[in-house]
Amino acid sequence: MVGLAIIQYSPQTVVLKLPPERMVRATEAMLRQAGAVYPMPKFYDDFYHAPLPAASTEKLLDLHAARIGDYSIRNCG
Amino acid sequence: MSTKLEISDDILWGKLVKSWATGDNYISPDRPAPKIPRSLEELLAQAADIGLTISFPDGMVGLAVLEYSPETALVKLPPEGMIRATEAELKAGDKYPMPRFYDDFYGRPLPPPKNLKDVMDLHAARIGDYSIRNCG
Repeated sequence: MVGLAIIQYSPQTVVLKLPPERMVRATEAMLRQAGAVYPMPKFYDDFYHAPLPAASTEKLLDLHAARIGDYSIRNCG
Repeated sequence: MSTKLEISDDILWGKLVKSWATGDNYISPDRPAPKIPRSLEELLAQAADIGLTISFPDGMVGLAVLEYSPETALVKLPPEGMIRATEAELKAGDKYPMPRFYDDFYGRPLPPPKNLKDVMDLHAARIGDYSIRNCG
């Protein structure tokens, strides 16, 4: 990574941040490997007082989708 | 419209976003991928087509779609007014609005915060997470 872009926007605008295709596919490939663990940021474990449970490949890919959906559009909460 | 962002199915929404990002259709793999929406109305129409309901906070009228290279760190700064509004709600005792799918994947509800600092730290960590995360 060599570039930096900082986006500021008004509260009246929905900003949808689409992740780069290559990064999506690389993470999917990683999650399909045997014994893969979703790379959840550590603070979630801290606030849930538990580690993220292990999951099947199908569930890992569902979590990947849900996470992308979350941070593509979330803007304050 | 409502006062909060509400998404009826976080996984389905994420699959729609992945379809826009990759050009593959993650919802109906035998069909072409949906086109990237260019207005809020288009986005809501695509969501409705797949049985997804999304409510945006009152007053949101515009849509901006950001595409960027893997070599670029993209930081999306939330509007100051929205940060302060959420802080005020949390200080008034509101529960942190964690998207439901985190509870589902952790297999437990988010424990109540120990104190105000705890919930404000969670708010900060969440903002830090989705301001910069790009794939994982």
